[in-house]
Amino acid sequence: MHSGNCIIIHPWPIVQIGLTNILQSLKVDVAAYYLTTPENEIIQTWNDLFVLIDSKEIEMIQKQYKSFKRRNIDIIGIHFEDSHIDDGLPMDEILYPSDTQGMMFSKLKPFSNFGKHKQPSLHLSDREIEVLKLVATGFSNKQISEKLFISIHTVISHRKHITIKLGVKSISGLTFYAILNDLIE
Amino acid sequence: MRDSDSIEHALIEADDQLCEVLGRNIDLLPIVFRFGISPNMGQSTLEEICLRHKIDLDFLLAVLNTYNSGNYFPNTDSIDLALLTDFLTKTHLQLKQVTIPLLGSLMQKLKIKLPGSKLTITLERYLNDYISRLMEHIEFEEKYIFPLVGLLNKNGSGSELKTSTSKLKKLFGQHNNVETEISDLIMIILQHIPEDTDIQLFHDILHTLSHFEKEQVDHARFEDKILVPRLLKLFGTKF
Repeated sequence: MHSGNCIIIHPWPIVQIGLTNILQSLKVDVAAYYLTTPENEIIQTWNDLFVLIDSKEIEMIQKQYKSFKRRNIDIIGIHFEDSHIDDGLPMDEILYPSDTQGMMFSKLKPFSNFGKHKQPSLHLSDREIEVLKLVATGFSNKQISEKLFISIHTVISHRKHITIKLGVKSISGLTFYAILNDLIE
Repeated sequence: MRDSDSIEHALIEADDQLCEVLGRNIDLLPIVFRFGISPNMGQSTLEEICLRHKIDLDFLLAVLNTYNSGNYFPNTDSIDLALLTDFLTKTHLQLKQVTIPLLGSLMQKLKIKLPGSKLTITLERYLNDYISRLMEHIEFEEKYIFPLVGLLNKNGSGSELKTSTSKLKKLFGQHNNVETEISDLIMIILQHIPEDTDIQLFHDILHTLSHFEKEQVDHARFEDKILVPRLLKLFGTKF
């Protein structure tokens, strides 16, 4: 059982300390710190939390992404490298070196009251619900990115997560889902 | 996952008895009907049935094996395109006369069981929209694609063939969502089955949709992997 609802996996202490400070201002306790991805037996004990993880380590856990979603675990990549990040990696959010403290605060805030703000029947984040509504109403990725002030990469990433979480791929299927769950008329 | 993907089906051969083939995979029964074969010929081998009813044995084997296993791929160059379009037309007919009315009657039952429920209303709207697009697609194929086989046999003019090539290429893109939309529908229904409801009715709906999906996928395989590439290749040789 964890006393906090966040795990940090990153080898640099300065990153761990910086993120811990931001999380404290969001009233989030860090349950554990790891320099690299821990043993699978440890990962299996995680539930209802979010993991801030070095983007280089994400490949280690990507096969477990579906299992994470079932256990209400969100993954936030920490990409403090200059290199391009692989679009296909499963993540709910990404932190970049160019992000200001305020931007990191905004990105982490939706996860801070994890388990409370989420609609349990959907298991989608607030942002994913916003994207789903727009997809179901017929907006393109470009239009969604302009409307929500996020990059197309982030829109695509949200759409991938929506598909994984709901098991629904087609636009007409997403529309059906959105109507059935009173997200759109 | 579809059965054909998960189960290694044995290859169907000329000397297999019909009852043996159907016993291994009863889902092939409607396919057999489309060839005008009655199941009471069960003890005859496929070869004997084809001889008796003047059915092209190689074509029957290619079709049965394609439907029987997702991993089977027939020798496309040996398939008679006139037989194939005739078979695909019969598949359309069965869809219109059997599968779609069956889905319609299940929807009627659902409307009686769950009148005015959001699931019933939305599901009916989704299915009607899907079926109406499917009907448009079928009409397009029957009006523009299938007659091309006859046009080629009659050595149609260059301009006729050029126009037809663009229609063929259009057909290529149309099957992408066929499988996805039905599997999405199944997934959403599974997530929204109400408590204390008629489980048997939902089972029937899901079972019918699952067959419908498989039928659509196999049908699209014939068109995308055999019919269209063969026609495009033949058109190439005409110019």
